[in-house]
Amino acid sequence: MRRFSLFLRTMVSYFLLLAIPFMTALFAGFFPGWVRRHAHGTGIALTVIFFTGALLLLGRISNETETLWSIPWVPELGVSFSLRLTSFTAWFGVLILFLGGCVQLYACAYFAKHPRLPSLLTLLGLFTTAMLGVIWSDNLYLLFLFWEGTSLLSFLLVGFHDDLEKSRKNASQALLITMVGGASLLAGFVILHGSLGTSSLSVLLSGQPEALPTAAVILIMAGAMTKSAQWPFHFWLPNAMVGPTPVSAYLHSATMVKAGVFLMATLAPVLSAHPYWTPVLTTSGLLTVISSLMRGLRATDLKAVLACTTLAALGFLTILAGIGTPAALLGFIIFLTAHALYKAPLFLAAGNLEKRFGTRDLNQLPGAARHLPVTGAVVLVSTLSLIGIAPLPGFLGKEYLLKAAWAYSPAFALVIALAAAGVLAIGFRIMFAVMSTGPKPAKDGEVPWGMTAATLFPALAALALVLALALPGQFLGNAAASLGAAKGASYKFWYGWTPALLMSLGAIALSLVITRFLKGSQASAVLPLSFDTIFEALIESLRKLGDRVSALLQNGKLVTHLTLILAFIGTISFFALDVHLWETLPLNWTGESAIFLGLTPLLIVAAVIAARSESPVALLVSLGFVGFLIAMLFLWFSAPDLALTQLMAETLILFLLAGALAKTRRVEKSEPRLFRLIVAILGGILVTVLILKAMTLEWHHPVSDFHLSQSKSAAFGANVVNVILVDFRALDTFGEIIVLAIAAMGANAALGAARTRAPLPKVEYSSLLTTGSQLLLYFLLPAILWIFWRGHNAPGGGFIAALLAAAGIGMNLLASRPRYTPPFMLRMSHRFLVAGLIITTAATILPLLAGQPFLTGLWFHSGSLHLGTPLIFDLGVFLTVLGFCMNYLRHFHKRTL
Amino acid sequence: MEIFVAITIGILVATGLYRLLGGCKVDIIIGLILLSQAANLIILASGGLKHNAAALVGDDPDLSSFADPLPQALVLTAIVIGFGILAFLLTLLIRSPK
Amino acid sequence: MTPDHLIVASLLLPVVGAIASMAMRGHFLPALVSSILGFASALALVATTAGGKVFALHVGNWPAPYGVVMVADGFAALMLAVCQLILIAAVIFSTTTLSSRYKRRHLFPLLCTLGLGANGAFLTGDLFNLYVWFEVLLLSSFAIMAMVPGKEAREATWRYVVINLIASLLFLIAAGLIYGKTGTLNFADLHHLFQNSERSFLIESSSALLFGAFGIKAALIPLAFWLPKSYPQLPPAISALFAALLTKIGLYALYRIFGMVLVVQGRFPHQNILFYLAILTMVGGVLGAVAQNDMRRVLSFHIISQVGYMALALALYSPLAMASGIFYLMHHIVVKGNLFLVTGLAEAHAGSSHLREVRGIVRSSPIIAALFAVPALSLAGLPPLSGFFAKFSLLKASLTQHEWVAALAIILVGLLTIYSMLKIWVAAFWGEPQGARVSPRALNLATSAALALVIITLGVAAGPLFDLARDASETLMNPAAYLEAVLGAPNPTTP
Repeated sequence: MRRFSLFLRTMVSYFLLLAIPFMTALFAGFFPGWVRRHAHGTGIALTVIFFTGALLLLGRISNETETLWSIPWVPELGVSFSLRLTSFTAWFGVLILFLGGCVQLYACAYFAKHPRLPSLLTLLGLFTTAMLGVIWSDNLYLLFLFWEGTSLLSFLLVGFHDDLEKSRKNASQALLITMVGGASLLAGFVILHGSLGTSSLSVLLSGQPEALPTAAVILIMAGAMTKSAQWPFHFWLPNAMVGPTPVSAYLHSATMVKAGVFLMATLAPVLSAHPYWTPVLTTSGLLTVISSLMRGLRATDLKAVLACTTLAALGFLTILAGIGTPAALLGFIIFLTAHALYKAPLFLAAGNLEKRFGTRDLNQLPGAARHLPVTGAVVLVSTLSLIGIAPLPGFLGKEYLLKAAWAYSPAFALVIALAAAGVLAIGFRIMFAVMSTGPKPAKDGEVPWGMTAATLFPALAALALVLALALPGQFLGNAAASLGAAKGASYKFWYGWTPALLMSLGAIALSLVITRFLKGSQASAVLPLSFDTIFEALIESLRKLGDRVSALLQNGKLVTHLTLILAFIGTISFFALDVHLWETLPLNWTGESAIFLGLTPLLIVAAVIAARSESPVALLVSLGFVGFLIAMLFLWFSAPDLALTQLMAETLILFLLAGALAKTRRVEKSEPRLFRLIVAILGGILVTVLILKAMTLEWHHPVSDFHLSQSKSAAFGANVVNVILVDFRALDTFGEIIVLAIAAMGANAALGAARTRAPLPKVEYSSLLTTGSQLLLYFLLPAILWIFWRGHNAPGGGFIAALLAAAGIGMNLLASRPRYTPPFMLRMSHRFLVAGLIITTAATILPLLAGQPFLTGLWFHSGSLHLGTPLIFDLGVFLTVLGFCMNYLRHFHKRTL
Repeated sequence: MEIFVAITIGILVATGLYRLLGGCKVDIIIGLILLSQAANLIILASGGLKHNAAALVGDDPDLSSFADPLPQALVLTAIVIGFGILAFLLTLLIRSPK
Repeated sequence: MTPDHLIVASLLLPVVGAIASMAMRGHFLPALVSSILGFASALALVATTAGGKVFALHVGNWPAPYGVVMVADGFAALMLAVCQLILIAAVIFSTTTLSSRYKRRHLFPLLCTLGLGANGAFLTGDLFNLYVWFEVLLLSSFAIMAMVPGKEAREATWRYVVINLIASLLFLIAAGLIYGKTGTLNFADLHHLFQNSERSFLIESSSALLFGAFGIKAALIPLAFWLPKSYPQLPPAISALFAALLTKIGLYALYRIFGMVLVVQGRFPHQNILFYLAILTMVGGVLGAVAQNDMRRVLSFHIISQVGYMALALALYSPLAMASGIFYLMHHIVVKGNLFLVTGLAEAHAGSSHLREVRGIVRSSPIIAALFAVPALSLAGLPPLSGFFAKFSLLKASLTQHEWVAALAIILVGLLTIYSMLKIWVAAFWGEPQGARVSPRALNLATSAALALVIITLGVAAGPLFDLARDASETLMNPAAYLEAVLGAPNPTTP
């Protein structure tokens, strides 16, 4: 039995409490119908579950030690799923679970008939998980994970009534600000991790590092400040009140906003050594308190007023974390607790009042206490706690705050006391508004018992806390010690007539005066320049910037973009040219280049004509010349295969181009000549230089040497180029014919179904052309076979043979022979393509079956005759190229022209 | 000799670019044709140009008398791929001539 | 199955799929089967290459560098796996969402060839062979794009085709020049050459052309102008595939060639330019996204922005940065593909993708909303999803190297990404639904949910996956294993 209870108290069981709210969230998510039908029952069940969790955790507080639990996640980056439980974090967990239970009970009652209650419960459950994760994380990045989780869930919760514009807007604002903070936090963590070498909080807190990176400290402070709505990031909190009341009660009083100050307090023992820590945080906290007063003393909506007091409380907590001394941290815990236990019920009470009277306006609430006695009592107790009347927890909070401030700096403590007076005045305001008697209110709604009970529980808990603290046993003493307070500290109600007590009494008196003073004046609550407008302006200017950029990126003519691309790449290339190779430029010419000297100028002339001409005929002729002359150049440079291929391919291209030009009408819009000329000339010069560089380098070519030496002996072919194509680098050719197949399919895709709707024109067949082309094909056939066969040992091969065949078929199509109708050609081309691809693929696979690597040549020799898979490969190439050509040439049949 | 080849290629590139930036689809296609011819020449030229070198391997062990076959094979592949792409481009042209 | 078989399978499966589909009049089944089998073989390759192993297949049994080599290392295997996954999703979505006019026009064979081009590009170890596979890939994408009807789509297709053809030409020219100056096209051989000679500066200018070619394909600013005009025109099934794949293959080429082949003593040519372009791309892309009011356009601009991240990882060139980049590549392919598919679902459901016309998808279809939330949050970089680890590791890498500008850019761009996703959510998903809603098909939802699961897994299992990425980046930065596999010795003597 003892072992079992020991097991129950081990790390695993406490951390399992993280899973419980997660489970409830999943349940509500997957069984929404059940939840809707049993709203009240769900509320009770959830409350019981959460309260049980809180009770379980309560037992953990007396344990001084720190419990750790860890699963590695990405060790490389320092991210691990590590949790740590200390006395303080256990206590905070108690608060979170306890208030969570109250809030869920409230929500079920408040939204009992609302169709989206299940979603709300899911979000609340997930949020609780995330919040517990924040406080129980040991790994910095895991903390960040849960931190962002709370931001995201808060967004969804605040924007719960997403059909309202204001909800959407304010929720987005809150999300953006907390996300900015989150990013800052992450950056700070990364720097801190890099500098201190650890990403584990427990390790971090156990030592006192010599040097703290300033950037990290600033970034972490900023992150925490956005989360806890500290100046200047404070303006999102009042706006977040558009969320449903239970959400405001939970998130914006007791939990989410506390995450920031929690982090500050946790890190304070280590980070307060940094010179910036205390000044920044105490200033920001004070400014937050002051700015909250401005609004809080004048606003009329009860929720808004409560939001302002929350801001103030967070400000005080920030100040405490900023001071960072053990005394301050002692005060931190009790202030945090007290605030949670009086703020939550106040928010819930506001919801009750609204439900009962239909309004939250402070000026229209008088007489409320009489009609809702329980709520009224709760409001009384809570506001007394806020004001700090002994022996309520709020009194302890204020006392220890002032004590720590006085120990740090008496002057500062006085300032705090003055500011506190304003906050207390707000408290009085609320109390008087709700407690006083007045006319009977207009609406007469009914408050479900669930809501009342949920409002009551925290107040009862506050009273219970007072009792627990009064009894001997140092309740919460261990918690304080684990955070950083002195060991053996405890909370006492009476310390004598300390300066703190005097100041707080003075503050109360002052606040009563302020209240009386305010009753008379009718000041407005609007400031000329608010942070809201600054924020809006920022977003707006961002949008405008985005508009400009996207206009830049999207619009513009193709020519502009092309020029930009070419200019950019050309510039980089130009600057990458290395200058000292200029000396070795070959400026000689050899005497044998007489024919060559004739070819090149012709080529140039033809190219220029092609560049300038407008008429289709001139274009075709000049392009034809260019292609032809290049083929001659190829021949000159000892590349017969190339010359043949170039000639054939050029012919076919011109063929297709002629057909295309016949169908298009050139639109006379031309870009300005000068600018094109400049770009063209610059590009030409760059390429000339590049090619000169490449040509002059004396570099031996071992790869080609291998090809040349092995071609006859290992690959059984004398035509090295062909051998390279079908053997050495056959994979290139394989890809290439697939390109052709794709191009064929692409043409069919682009042009769509055959246009057979219009009646086909009556075609006249020229008998000369018909017979001639038929004869041509018969004569070509042996030539094709011969060229195909001899390719491995002489210029020729699959390509050239196929292109030749295509030329012949092209003639037949021009003659519009009735046999070669477009649909027939389409079918044939498809078959040829598929057959060609199958044969080629077979040629690649066959070697595999013989145990050789992919695409190896398998040969069968008989004397000087060598047959092998490369020949099969070449056959496949032939068929594919032919199929491709047939696909394109079919359009020349008169039936489609 | 090399300088002539280089200048020729440069002019081909220049004419191709000039045409490419012309503004309408036909211009672009003509420009691309010229530029791909230039690219083919570039590949061949970079590999080193030999006039009157042997093209077919016999039993001659002197490797330096041969033209470099690898750039030729590359250019062949490039020609055929270019051919395929150009044909496809032309169909794009046909279906929306402006 | 030996690694050799797996490499061959990666090439042959798409080919056979394409042929079978062509023979069966464009039927989808061969495409689906071949992509599923391809995914399985890719996963097997990932397992085989884990721990930094490299396997080379010498095609045609010719030793490197005389023939063409196909090399499978960790990087290639990871990319193969992720791309095949998206291909499967694209095939499924094409079957269910595209009208039959696409199928009549050879969509499925072309999807297979697109996959083939991608696989070939990932596995090849030869520069010219890379060019060929790029052409296969590109032309397949041209042909698929050409199927989309409408005047705007045709204009977009034309622009896309022309700009990418320029890129191809630049690639071709660069390949020729590089061969001319070095005498070899083999990656391993090239790398080895540059280590052992002082002639590495030779190829500075030619590599600039390569940089330009890959930059266009990867969509780096100022070379990215084709993207915002073309992708939004495509139907979601296709745009998902293109968005996920095409730019990443350009990035892969940059990683492989600039991050491995051309590296001399820890630096590669144009590294500084890449750094500044990366930041420019990140910022420009996201600013463009922020201004858009159509879901498809927002996502298209995000592609550009995310490409900047991955380019930045390469430019930083530290072990952590490279590992981060490779992880980012994997994550982004899945997330981007899924996002396009889900917004396609949302569009089909609500009738429009324009943010001013759609409202309240959360209420009318919570499933679509949840399926959108997962990849959107991952893209925005929220833990515990994959995007967080990708961005976080990159942030860490830049802070470690004291690149404050880069770190700032990462954070700011991340925030702006969150903002634009927020914009979509608030406008299209929140609010009261108006107008008729069409129920989404279960198969589509299931596919998208499967992808969402992968995204979540990538985040939860980030530990082992980051190790894989780390090993892959090791091979790139210290290619001894690569050289050994291809050339037979880690430091072969110069021939």
